[in-house]
Amino acid sequence: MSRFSLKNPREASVMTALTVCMIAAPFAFPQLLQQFTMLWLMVVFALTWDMTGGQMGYNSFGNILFFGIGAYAGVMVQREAGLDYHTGFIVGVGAATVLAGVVAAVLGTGMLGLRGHYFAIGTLGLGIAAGELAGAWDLIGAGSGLTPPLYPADVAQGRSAGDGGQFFYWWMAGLAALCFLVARALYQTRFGLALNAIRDDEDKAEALGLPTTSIKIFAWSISACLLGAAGAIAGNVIGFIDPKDVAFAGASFGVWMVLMAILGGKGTLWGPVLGAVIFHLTQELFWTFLLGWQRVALGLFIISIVVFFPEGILGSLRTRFPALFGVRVEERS
Amino acid sequence: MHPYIGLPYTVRSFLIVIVAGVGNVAGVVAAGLGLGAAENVAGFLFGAEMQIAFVFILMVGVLVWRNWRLQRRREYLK
Repeated sequence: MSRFSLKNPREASVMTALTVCMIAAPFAFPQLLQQFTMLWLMVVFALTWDMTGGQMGYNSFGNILFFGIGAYAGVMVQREAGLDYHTGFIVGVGAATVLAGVVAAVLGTGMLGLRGHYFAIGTLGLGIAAGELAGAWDLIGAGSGLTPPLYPADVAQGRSAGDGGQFFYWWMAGLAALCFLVARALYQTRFGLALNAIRDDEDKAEALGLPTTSIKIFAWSISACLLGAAGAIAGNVIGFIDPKDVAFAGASFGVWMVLMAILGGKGTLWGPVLGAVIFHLTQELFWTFLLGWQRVALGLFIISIVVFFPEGILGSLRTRFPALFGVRVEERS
Repeated sequence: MHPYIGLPYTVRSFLIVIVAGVGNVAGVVAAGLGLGAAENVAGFLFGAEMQIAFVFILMVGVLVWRNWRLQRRREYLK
C-alpha cells in the first residue's frame, strides 16, 4: 500500500473539474465570493496539516502558529514598508512564507524530537503562547489587532469590498492549487515514502539510515511556508487581524484543520481536499439554516465523523474498495 | 460566568499532566503547585498579559529540555 491517490484517468478528470469550478465560481456566484475564498483557505489548512499529521504521523495542534505569523508578517509589510499596494502585497506574502518556514525550522529542531502526546501538547502550547504574546506586543497592535490597508480600487470608489475580493480570491485559489501540487509531488517521490516510514515506525526508519530529523523538519517547514502565505492572504480577506480570534485562532481554524483532514481521510492526498469542502459546506449550511443551534449541529457532526468514519471518508472507502485506489490486495492463506 | 469557562482549565490540566509525565501522580501534585506558583511569579515579573504565555513557553521548554537529555542516551519521552 504505497499510493493512496486515485488512479490516473479518474484523478485527471477530477482535477480538471475542480480547476473549472475554481475558475468559474467567482463568475457564477459573485455574491458568494468570500465564501469561496474561505473554502480554498480551508483546503490549504487541511492539506498542510496532513503533510505532518497524516503522512508523517506527527499530530500538530499548533500549526495555527504559522498561519498567525504569516498574517502578522504580511500585514506588517503592507502597512509599514511604504511600497505601493500590489508590490507591498506580494512582498508581504513572500515575507510571510519565508518567516513562517524559518520559524518552523528553528522550532522543529527541538519540537520534532518529541513524539506522540508530547508533540501534540507541545505544539498546542506554542499556538496558545503565540496568541498571548501577539496580544501583548504593542508593535503589532497588541490586543486591538491590525487592519490591513484597503484595496486601492475599492477605496477610490468608496466601498469596503469589491475588486479586492476578486484579487484575493485568485491568490487564495492559486495558493490552494499550489499546495495540492506540492503535496502531490512530495508524496510521489522517495520523500513521501520516507514520511510514511516515519509514521509507520520511526525507530526502524532511523535504523534504515533515513535522516529522520531533517526529513521531519523539512516537511514541517514546507507546510509552515504554505500556511504562512495563506495567513498573509487571509489577513486581507478577513480585513482585520485579531490576535486570538483570527491570527492565532486555535479554537476555530486550529481545530478545524485537524478535523477536515480526519473527516476526508488523513494520510491520503485527496482526503483533506474532500474533507475541507464537505466541512466548509456543512458549516455554512448549519449557520444558514440552523442559526442558534449551529454549534450543537457542528458538534454532533464532528462526533458522528469520529464514530462512523474513524479513518475518514476516503479511508473507509479505501478499506472497502481497495481496487478503486490502486491498492493491490494480496490474499494470504 | 459563561459557557466556555471550562476551556482554559481543561487545557491547563492537560499541561500539568504532560509536564509531570503521564501516570506520575506525585509528579502531578508537584507540577501543579510549581506551575501555579511560576505563573503568578511571572505575572508579577513580566506583567499580567505575559502570564499565560510564560506558562506555555515554560512547558514547551521543559519538554524539549527533558527530551534533549534523553536523546543523548538515544531515548525519547514516552
